[in-house]
Amino acid sequence: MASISARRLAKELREIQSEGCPVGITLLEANDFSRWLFTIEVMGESLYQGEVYDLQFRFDAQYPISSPAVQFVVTGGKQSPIHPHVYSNGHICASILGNEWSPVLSVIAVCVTLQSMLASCKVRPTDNDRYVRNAPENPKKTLFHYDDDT
Amino acid sequence: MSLYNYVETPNTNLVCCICRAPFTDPITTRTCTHTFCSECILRALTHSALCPIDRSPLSVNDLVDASPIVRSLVDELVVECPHLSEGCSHTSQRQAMPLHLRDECEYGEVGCLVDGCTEVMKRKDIPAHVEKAHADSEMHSGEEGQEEEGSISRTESEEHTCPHAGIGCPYTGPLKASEHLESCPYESLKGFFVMNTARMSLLTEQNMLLRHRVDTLESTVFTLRREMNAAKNALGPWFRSSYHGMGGYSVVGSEVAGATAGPSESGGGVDELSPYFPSEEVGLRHRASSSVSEGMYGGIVAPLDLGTTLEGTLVGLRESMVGLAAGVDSAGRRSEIALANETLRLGEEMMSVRAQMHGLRMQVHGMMMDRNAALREEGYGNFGMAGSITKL
Repeated sequence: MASISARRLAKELREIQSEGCPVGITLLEANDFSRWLFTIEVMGESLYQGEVYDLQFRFDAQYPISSPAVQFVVTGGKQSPIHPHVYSNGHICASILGNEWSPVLSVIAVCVTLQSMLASCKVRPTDNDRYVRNAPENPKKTLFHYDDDT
Repeated sequence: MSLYNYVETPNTNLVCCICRAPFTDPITTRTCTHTFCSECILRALTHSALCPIDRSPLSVNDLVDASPIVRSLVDELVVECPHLSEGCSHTSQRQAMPLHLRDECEYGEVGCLVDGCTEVMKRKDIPAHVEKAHADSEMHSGEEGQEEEGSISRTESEEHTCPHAGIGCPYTGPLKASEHLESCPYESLKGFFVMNTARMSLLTEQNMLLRHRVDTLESTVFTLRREMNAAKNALGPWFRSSYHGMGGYSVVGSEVAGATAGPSESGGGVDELSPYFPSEEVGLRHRASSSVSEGMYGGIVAPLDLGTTLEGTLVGLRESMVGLAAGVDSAGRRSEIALANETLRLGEEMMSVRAQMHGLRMQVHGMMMDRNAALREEGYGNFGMAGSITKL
């Protein structure tokens, strides 16, 4: 029943439209229940002040049992933020998008988590180039090793 | 998950956090008491064996039906008819909605009431359908939906199959569907099959729940059996199943039928351990009965106090063991002392006897000396002899 993921996403979308997104997050595009786009901006005093990033969610029919595929958009002149857990191809190394995903989480919850994650140092991950060369198209297919809590 | 739209925004406490809709067939976890729709949590568990809310380990065996209060709360939420967009503005409690769809809703899908027609259509379309399709059974118009068209294409083909082929009619032949249906045995059962299918799906659902519960129970039974075996091993020969006891009682009881005191103590014949485990009755009899019975059964009944628990008996046995060891020890010591005393006494007696002997020997020696002297005097003169005799 594909309608389970569709109904759940419809509910989330209705919630976003009626209550609005948290500060710094805006819904850019949600034409269907397979791909949504958000813009994300770190508010207040931070290294990312004034920088706006595009965040892409892709859902499969198993959502919310399986996690959405989340990555920063790096095409069309967009760039991914410079962060130890974000690769230059837009992939994000975050446990809640992998083995710690829970169906209880939602699109907005993921956005807020990533927003708070961004408030950190400005260094590319050390293995960036190697990862980007070999990375699969879908970040969910990568087996990240989550080694700290930042 | 529920496919209904709810008239009012449901209380957030009644919303499953996986599907974000009020619980359908709510299930609660035994370990962390979180509640989910049964379908949602079962799907989530196939993905990861953790509670979605607190990530604690969770398995299917930890799921139990939510409390009836929660079930009633969600079943009584008012929902809209799923055919609202088509025009049915009916609302009812969620638990009553399936009934509305089946029996009332103008937009619910029902089978045509006319004999010989298997079309499924919205209830409100039935009069129009009957008018169009059954005014002339040969003339089916294609306006009543795709299923209708499907059946037309079947009736126009060379080999006709029965519209009831789906439920088992094996007919294929030259007769058109409507002609065949007049004689088709499945036609008269059409209503039954519709009902049956509905029942079947209900039963399948219940079956799944029950299977789930059976699984849970089986695992519980398994655990209990394992614990039971462990206890049995620990008890050893003290373990006595009530079944065994009963069997021994009845079998031997019939053997000794007629004897007044027969059945109770006759358990002794069943196996060699059984005298250690007489039935309760025997114990009571022994306590109550006089020395006569004790004399009779003294050889059979174990010298154990069966009135206490195994542990008590063991403690008692160990105590008497310690007592016996002490007794043996002291007895040995006592006999040793007695022996030493006796030896001493005998030694003294020997000494005294030896002293007496010495005295006697001295006396004899004295007498001999006197006699020798007398004999010597006699040798010199007979007078002396007489004199010496008188001296003696």
